[in-house]
Amino acid sequence: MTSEIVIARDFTPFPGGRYRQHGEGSGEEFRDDLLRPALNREASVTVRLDGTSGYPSSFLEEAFGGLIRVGFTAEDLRKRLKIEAEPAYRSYRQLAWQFIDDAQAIASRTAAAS
Amino acid sequence: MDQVTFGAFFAAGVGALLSNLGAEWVKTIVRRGQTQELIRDAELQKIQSEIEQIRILSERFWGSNAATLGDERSLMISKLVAALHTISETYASLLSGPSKHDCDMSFMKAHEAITGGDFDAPDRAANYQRLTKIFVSLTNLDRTATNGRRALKRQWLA
Repeated sequence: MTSEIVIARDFTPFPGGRYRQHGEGSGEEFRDDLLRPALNREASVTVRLDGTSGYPSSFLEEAFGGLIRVGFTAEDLRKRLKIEAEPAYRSYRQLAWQFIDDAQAIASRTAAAS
Repeated sequence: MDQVTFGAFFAAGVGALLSNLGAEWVKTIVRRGQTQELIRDAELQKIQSEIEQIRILSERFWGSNAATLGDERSLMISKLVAALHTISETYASLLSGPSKHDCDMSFMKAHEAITGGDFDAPDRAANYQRLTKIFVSLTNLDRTATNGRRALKRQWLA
């Protein structure tokens, strides 16, 4: 099954910072309460970025790059996660994928070193 | 004779009408083109003014530690995120194709420099190296947006 998460509708129109302790609408909260359960439950998940008041990079890094730190792989996410955005939000989408790849590179280096 | 005179007057009248209509039509095209160019210039100015705002805000935000900023910190975070998003929306409406792509790349660098890492951590330190990165990336974003605007095909007769 496929699940769709519209951040502005299902989470918040005003995304916040990185961690839950930094206030409401954090990347950690989004990842742990919405995105991760959806990825564990469904075969594929679509996240729509449109309609919010913008995203701090720290939110995007924790929400998407953080998926690698909680056990997903970039390869798996490329197959099952779709991030959609209208033109004004496309750079956020590129950032989200960049954070996933960066986090995967760090995880792979750490695994190789240990 | 009367028929000839009437014919001449009629032809002259039609000629004058067509010539006036033609002139008005050209004026309308020129006006439309000029308005379009003015809108584009205004959008570029909007981007540049937001970049300047971000430069000023970043200087205070990253030039101080989080504790020093106190309650103002949250307000500055909101202003920075909103200003960045305004830039993203504005260049998305102004540019397309390779120019939009170039702006996306410059925007991502500036965005990460300004709002990445410990941006919202309440115990972060001042970071002058990061300020350098922010200023350089904002200058690049300004240049990319300006080049994109210049590369837009001018409206006909504008």
